[in-house]
Amino acid sequence: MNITRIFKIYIKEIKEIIRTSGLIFILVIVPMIIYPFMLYYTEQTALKEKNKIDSASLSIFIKEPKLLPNLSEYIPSDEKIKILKNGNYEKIDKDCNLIISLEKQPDLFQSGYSNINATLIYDSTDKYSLKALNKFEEILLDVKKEITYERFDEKNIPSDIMTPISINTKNIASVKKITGNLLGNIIPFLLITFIMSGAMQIAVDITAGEKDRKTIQTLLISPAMRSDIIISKLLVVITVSLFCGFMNLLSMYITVCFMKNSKQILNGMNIDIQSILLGILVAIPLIIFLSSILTAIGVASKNQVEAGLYTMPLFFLDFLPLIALSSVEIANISNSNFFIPVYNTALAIKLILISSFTWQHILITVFSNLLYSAFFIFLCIKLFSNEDVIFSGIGDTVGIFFRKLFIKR
Amino acid sequence: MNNIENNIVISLENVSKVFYDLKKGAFTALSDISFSCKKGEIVGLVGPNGAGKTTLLRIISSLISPTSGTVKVNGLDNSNHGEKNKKDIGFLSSDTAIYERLTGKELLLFFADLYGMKKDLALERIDELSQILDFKKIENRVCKNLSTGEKQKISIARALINDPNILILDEATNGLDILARKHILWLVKSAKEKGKTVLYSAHAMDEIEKLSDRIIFLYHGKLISNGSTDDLKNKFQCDDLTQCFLKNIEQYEKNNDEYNKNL
Repeated sequence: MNITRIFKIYIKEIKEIIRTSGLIFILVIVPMIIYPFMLYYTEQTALKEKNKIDSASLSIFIKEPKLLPNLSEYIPSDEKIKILKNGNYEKIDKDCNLIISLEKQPDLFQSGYSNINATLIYDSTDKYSLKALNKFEEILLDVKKEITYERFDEKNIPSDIMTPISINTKNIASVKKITGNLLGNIIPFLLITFIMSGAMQIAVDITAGEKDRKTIQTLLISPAMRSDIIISKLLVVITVSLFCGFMNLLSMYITVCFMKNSKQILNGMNIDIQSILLGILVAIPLIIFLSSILTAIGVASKNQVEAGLYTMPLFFLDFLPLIALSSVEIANISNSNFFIPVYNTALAIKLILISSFTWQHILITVFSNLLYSAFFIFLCIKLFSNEDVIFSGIGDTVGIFFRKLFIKR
Repeated sequence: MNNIENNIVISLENVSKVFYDLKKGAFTALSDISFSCKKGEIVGLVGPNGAGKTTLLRIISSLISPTSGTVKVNGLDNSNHGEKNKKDIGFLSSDTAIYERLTGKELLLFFADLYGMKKDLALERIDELSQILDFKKIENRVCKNLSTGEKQKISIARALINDPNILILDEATNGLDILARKHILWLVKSAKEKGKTVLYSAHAMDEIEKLSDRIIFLYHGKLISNGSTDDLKNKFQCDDLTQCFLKNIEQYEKNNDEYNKNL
């Protein structure tokens, strides 16, 4: 292995990547400008919409209002709620956000009290209607409670009979644990997305892309050893993956800092520098692992189209372990979980964020990922040294292998 | 040692290559090829498509390995000294494209680096080649913005960057216009003047006839004739190299049919 030569090929590849406008768009423009802009714009739009709904005046129509004559007294004075008195409203639209249909129920138990059945008619696709529903569910509960107490008073029954058990909840999870748990589900997902979106393009471009552009033969006739060539290409993919993964997360973090609603999350995050460094340490072997798989796929493919076909399922496959992550019970985690690629890193990052990791978890994650990476790096070198794979692609090579087997039999 | 004493720079002994194709199965691209090239000799390879010319030149350049047989460059076996032998070969074909995102100068410096040339020496060599091939004005332009002829100049300079003693040209003039083709012909002529060995395959018989000291006819992966233009013309009793080749094929097919009948 010639380190100087590896470095020279590496620099050449990086130079080429920098000059590819399409790749620069994916690697720099998208994470640094498009994603933050989209995130900021989405937050601002959502905020605007929320403010609009909050400040909107709601119109309610009550059918048979005489059954609950004092209902309007329960509406807080600061709420912009208008009770429609004239007309007969049958559907929900901008003029009428909620219809409360009151009906007198028969006194089946002959208690001497008349009970009322209130049906709230709303449109779940209309945000104003949903807001009106939530408000009036609360108001009607207050009315119900008030009437119940009045009836107990009339019968001289103490009102605490209604509350035989008083339920109180106390969350002992620290703010760090709560936000860590939330971020532990989001960060690995974002990390994998960012790594794959950047590295996939590069791995395919510098391997299968070279076959398409017919430059692979130009490189292969040089005195550079094939192992040197493929290792330099792999290093390029790793560099780009690292760049994509961390630059995207950093740009996300900076964007979140500018978002009004996210200040609470940031205040609660309280992630120390040790946790960040440990997270990076755990993520690097995963980046090497994914880069080596993508490079192996690129080398094995006949052309860029074929490489695209092979990499796309891998992209989706990577998210399967992350789906399992949200339902994992931290108390029941065994060491074997940390041998499962992708899942192990996501789990380790989650545990780091909630401060529940053990060094055993970290070591198993790092070393198992490094071991899997070593296997795929070895595979990359073997594939790149195979003239059938280089000139025909793995599809034909595997087909020929089975054909040979079949012919022999 | 013997090869070096006899000035033989390329020697092939019983070289065969079997490929496996998904549809056709196993097929022999080269069968039992043996020949050698001396220092300063220009050898033309003639054969129809699928005759095995590209495979043969790729094997000599250590791009692929033979299924059986030995290939030696400067007396060193390709199977053990492939990387070392590559340093003495300049290879140019229609399949050796240039990196279009680099400038001509960057590309040449990159390959000079791979050949282990020092930067000063490489820059001197680029300067020399740019004057000979007349690409000084375009050397700092990104290759994708160059015309086909300009790209061809950079490609030739790439093959010559380390001043190799052996030049292998595989149908390098294919698809090129008259001006671009002129550069390739210049390349072969100047290599001959400098005493370099050239192994040259092309479909244009006039080119081969004009440039080659010796001509090899390949057909169905077999070497069917090997000699100078005059030798071949005398052997097949014709004035034209194309006629010689066609007669050679006819003769080969006839012998083959008789051989098969006797079997």
